[in-house]
Amino acid sequence: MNRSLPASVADYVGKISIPTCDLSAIQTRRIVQRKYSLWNPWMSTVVAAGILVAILANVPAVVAQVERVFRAFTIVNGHTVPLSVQTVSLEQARSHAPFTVIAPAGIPAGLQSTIRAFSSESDPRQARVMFEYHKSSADAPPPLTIMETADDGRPEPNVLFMTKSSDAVPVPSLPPVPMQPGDRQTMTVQDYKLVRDGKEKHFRIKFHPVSWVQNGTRVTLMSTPDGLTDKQLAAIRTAMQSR
Amino acid sequence: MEPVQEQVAAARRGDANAISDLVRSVWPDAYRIAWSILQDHADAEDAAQDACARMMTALASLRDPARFGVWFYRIVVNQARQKQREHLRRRDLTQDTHVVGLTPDERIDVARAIAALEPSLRIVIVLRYFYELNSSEISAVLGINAVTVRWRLMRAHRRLRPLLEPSTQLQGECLDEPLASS
Repeated sequence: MNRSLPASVADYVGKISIPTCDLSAIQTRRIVQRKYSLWNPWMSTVVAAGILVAILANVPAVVAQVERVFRAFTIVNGHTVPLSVQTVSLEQARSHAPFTVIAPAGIPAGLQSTIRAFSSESDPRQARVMFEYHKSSADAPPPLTIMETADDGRPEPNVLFMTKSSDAVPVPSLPPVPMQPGDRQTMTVQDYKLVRDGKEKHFRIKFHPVSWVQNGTRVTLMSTPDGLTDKQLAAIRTAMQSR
Repeated sequence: MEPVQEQVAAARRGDANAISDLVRSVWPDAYRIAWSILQDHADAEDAAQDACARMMTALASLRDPARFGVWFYRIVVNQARQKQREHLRRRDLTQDTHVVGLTPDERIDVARAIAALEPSLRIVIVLRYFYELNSSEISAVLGINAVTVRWRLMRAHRRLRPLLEPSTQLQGECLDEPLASS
């Protein structure tokens, strides 16, 4: 088909299918860019590698890496404000959280849990409890993360999590987890910036969290690839809902 | 003022709604330009999102708001190139299919031939013929010499020549200024 170059270029450009503009994802990238550029000198002095995990939290979600230091920040008026993070027991989490903590149940054998409580003096809404389940190998991302927050009907505040590590492994894509009726139909985009031997690698992962509200608490299940099967996740959800 | 320039002015004043509107306005261009370089959906979306994020951060440092377009396209191109470099590190990019040797008899759609051009040639003709930028503006966007821009335009045109109408070939359409002028 012979034709003019401008028309052909217009044809070529016109065939480009433009995805929806995801303002939230762009905002998150902005925060990550600013945060990373601020921390860069500091990061370069710390061990050999680091992982930056940014979470766009219309849905609370997190995947950690080989863990050394775990930090969390919230976004207030465009500024990042650190959250207090404590490793706690289930009882401590229950006394700490201003919402009903639903104890995880139906967890497959062989997973070891770490429980973290997040809080902010200035904003009680930031309180959350996170259960991370690891396999014996510390080098793999946790196959299961459960996040619990108060469900007050308002949108979740944005939260930024950062895990620093002495080594890091690329995080493979997550398998889709079927959404149940009533779940949030929101997909969370996470950016992983891994630094190894002075070189940056960038990974992008889309999560399909399973989330529901129970006794005023929003519970969100997240599973990593090769972590738990859909059947195991469904079993955990059923077991927790029966509590 | 053009609508985008009004949005730029309001966004520079810190108007959050204007910033959102501006990002929505420029998003299609960001994606198109990133796609023209990368030709991969996920990478183009990544690059376009990164470019919009950087634009939001750097907007206050924009010296001449009237040149927002060129300034922003440059950011997009840089992000796309960064993504391209990441790709090159990850795998050998030998997938480009050049259109050398194609003849009109093959009746290949020129748009497909454009898609098969090298990224460095493709982005130049997209900026020239779709965004209607002149050589010096393309030069500013790509960070290359204006002569190089015109050279690439000519190379792209030569590659596509067998598929184009005779009346649209060569001077006038391909080169906004003759090579000899610089």
